[in-house]
Amino acid sequence: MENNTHVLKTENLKKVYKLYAEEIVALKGVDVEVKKGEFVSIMGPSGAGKTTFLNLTGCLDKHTDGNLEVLGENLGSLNEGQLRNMRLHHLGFVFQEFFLIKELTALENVQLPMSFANNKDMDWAKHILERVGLGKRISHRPKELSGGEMQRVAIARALANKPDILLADEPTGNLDTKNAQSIYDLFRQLGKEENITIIAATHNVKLAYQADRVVHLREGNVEKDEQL
Amino acid sequence: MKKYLNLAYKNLYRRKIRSILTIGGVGVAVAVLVSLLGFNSGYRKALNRDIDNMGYQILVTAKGCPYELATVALAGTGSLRYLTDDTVAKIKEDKDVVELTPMMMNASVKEDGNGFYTFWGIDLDSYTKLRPMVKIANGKHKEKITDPATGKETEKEVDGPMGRWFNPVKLEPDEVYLKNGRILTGLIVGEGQYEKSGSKELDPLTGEFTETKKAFKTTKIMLPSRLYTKTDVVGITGFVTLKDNTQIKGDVTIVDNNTIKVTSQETKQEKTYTKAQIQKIEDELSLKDGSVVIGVLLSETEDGYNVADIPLSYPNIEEIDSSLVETDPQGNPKVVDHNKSDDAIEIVLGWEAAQIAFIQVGQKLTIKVREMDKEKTKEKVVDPVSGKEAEVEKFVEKAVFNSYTFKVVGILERGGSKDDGSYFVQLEQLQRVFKKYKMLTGIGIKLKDLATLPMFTDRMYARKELGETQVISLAEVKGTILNLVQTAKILVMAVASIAIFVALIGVMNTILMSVFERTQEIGIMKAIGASKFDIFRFIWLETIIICALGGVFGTLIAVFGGKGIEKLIRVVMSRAGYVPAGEIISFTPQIIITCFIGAIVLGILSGIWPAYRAAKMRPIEAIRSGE
Repeated sequence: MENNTHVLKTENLKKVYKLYAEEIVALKGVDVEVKKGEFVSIMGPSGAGKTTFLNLTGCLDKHTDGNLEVLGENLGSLNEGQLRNMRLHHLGFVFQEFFLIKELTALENVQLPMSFANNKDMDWAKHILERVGLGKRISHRPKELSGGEMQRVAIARALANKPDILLADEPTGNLDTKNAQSIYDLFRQLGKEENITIIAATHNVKLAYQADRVVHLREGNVEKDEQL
Repeated sequence: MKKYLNLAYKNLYRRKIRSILTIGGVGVAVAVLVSLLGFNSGYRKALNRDIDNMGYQILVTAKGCPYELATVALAGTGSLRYLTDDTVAKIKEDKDVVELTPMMMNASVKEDGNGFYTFWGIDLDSYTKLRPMVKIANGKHKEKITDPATGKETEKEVDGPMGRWFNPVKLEPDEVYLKNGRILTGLIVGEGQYEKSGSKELDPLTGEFTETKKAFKTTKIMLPSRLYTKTDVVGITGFVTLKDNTQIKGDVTIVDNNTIKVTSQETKQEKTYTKAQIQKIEDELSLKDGSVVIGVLLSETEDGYNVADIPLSYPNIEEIDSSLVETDPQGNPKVVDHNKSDDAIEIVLGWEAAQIAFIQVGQKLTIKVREMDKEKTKEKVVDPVSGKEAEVEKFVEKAVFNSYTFKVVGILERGGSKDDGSYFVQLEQLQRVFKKYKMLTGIGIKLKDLATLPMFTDRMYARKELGETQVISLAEVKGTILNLVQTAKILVMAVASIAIFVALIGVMNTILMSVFERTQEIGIMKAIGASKFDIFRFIWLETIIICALGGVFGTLIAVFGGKGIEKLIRVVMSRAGYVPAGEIISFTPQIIITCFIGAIVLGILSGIWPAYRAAKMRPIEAIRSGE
C-alpha cells in the first residue's frame, strides 16, 4: 500500500437495519476517503450514523449497499474469515465502554489479541503499555484502574497487532475532561509517530477539532467535511 | 493454549459457586460410575475367592431353592433344611467321588441381637483333606498392654502359643436317634421300628448287647446319654419284657414321682411299677455309670416311635450332683450343665472371630446359643357354658439362651473368606449343641474329574434312597449369583447413565448460561480479532476443565468413600442373601483411568453445543447485547 493512497474509501455507502417490518436507514449514501496517517474526527448528533460508519469500517457489520474499501479490500466481497483477518491484523477498535476482560490484567488484555494472532512477543505488549503511559500498571486488573487508564489499556489492546487503522467510537464519552484530553493527545502522538490512521467519533467539539479533519454526519449523510 | 487455559480457569473462578456445584454434579456421576465398576470387578474377585476357598466343587444339600442354598453354602444364612448323615456313606459309594466331607452349619443370634455366631460342625479328617488352605495360625495376636507408668492402654502384637485343631471326641455312650432327629434320652420300652446309629442294642431276653444292624421288631431298652438329660420323653403304649420274663404292657402313665402305671389295652387292667422295680431294670442294665434315666419312650405307630413331650416324673437323679440339675417349676430336670471345665467343647475360631472376641488360644469362650424351648404356661379361660374361669395348661414356644463354654484350641490364619468370621466345632459336638442329631446342612464333594459332574448329578438324582437332595456345583452357584448381580448391575447402570445424563445437561446448562452472560465479552473478543475457533476452543476448554475436575473429585469420593459404599452395599445385599467376604469393591488403575477419560469425554460432548453457540455469535450483535 502506498503512502499517499487512501486507506478508506466509501462510495454511496448505505446501511439499513431491519427491525421487524420496519426499516431503519442508518447511512443513506456516504462518500468518504481517508488517507493513510490521517486523524479524522467524525461528528454529529445521536443517530447521525457515526457508530454505524465505524462498525462497517471496522468489519464488525456488513453494509447494505454501495462500496466500502478498506486498505484496498472491498469489504463487501470478503467472507467472514477474511473479515476476521482484517479485524485481527489491520484494524484496532476502541469503545466508549472500554470493554476490557475483567478477569485479565492490563498486560493480559493486551496480549489477548496477540494470542489470537499467535504472537507471543511479551516485550511488545509491555512496550505498548509503556507507550500509552501505563508501564507501571501492567499487572493491574481493570477494576484497579481509573477510567482514563482503562481506556489507555483498551487503546494498547487495539494497537497490539500493529493495525493500520485505529477506530474509536466515543473513546472519551466516559471520561472527564482532563482524561479525555490526554487520550486525544495520545491519539495525535500515535498518529504522528506510528503513522496510524485514526478515525474517532465524538460529540466533543473541542476534541474533534484537534484532528486533521472533521467529518460531520447528519441523518446518515455527510453534512460537512472540514479539512483543518 | 496457556492463554485459553488461563482464561477458562479465570472464567470458572469468577463463577465459583456455580462451577463448584457443576463439578460436584459431574463428581457424583463419576463416583457412581467408579464405584459401580469397582464393585463389579471386586465382587467378581471376592466371589471367585470364596468359591476357590471352598476346596470342594460340589455341594449336596437338601432340596430347596438353589439361590437360597447357595446363600446357605456361601454365607450361612437363610432357613435351613437338613440331610441325615447316612447320606454321606451312600454318596461315598459313588465311583467318581474322591473325597467328601459332611458339614453342619448353624447360626445363632448374638445375645445383643447384633449379628450371628456362625458355627460350622466339621469332620476334621475329611475337612482338612479337602480344604488344606484352611490352616491354624501361629499364636501371634494383639494384646492390650497397660503402661504401668502412664496407665495408658496400648495394643501390641505379641507371640502366643501355636494353636491346633480340636481333638476328636468320641461321644459316649451310644445314642438312639429317632427319625425326627431327636434323641432318646430315656429308657425305651416298646416295640416297633426305630432309628439307631452305632448303638449297642440290648436284647432283654438274653441280656446281651449286640451290634447287629437288623431291624428289630422287638422290645428295646436303650441307654440314655449322660449329656442329654433334657427331657425328651414319653408316654407310650407298648410292652416290655423284663429279664425275669415279666411283661409290662399297655398304656403307661405316670402316677407320681415314684410310680408308673401300665394299663392293659385289652383288659383295662392296671399294674403299677415302683421306682424300685424300675431301678431293678436299671441296675440290670448297669446304669450305674452316671447315666440318668429320665424318661420312658413307648410307641407303636407305623412311622416309628411316637415321642411325646410329657415329662416323666421319674428321674433317677440321685446319681448326679443335684446342684447341676436345673429343674422347671414342675420339678423336672431341665438342663444339665455341660460347662464343667473339663467338658468344655474344643473350638477353633476364624481369624476375624478371634479378633472381635479379643481371644487367644487357650482361653475359654462362653457363648449363649439361642434355642427354642417349650414352656408350660397356664392360661385362664372362661367356660362359655358355666361362665366359670378355669386354668388350662399350654405349651408355648419360647427362645432361650443356653450357655456353652468352649475352649479355644486354635485360631485360623486369615483367609479373606467367610471362614474368618466362623466358629469351628467337631460335627457331632455341634449337632448336640443345636439338637440336630445326625443332621447335616451339606456335604462337600470332590470328584475325580469335574467333567463327570453331569453324570454324577444324574446318578445322585436317580438314587431315590438319598431322599430329597440337591446337587449344587459351585460353578453353577457362581453363575447364579453372577446372574443376579448382573441384573442388579444393569439396574444400577441405568441409574448411573441417568446420573451421567443429568451431569451432561448440568454442565451444558452451566456453560450455556455463562456463554449467554458473556455474550458481550465474546463479541469484544471477536471485534479484536478472535476467530470462531478461538471462541469455540476456550468455551470448550471450560467444560472440559469442569468435567476433568469433576472426574478427579468423583474418583476421590469413590476411592475414599469406597469403605462407606461397601458398607452400604453389604447392608443392602445381606438382606438379599449372599455377600462375599473381604473387599467387594476394588479399584484398579484401569477403572480409574477409564472413568477419568469418561469424564473428559463428557466434557467434550457437553461443551460442543455451548461452544458452537458462542462461536457463531456475530460481533456487533454480541457487543450490543450488553447495552
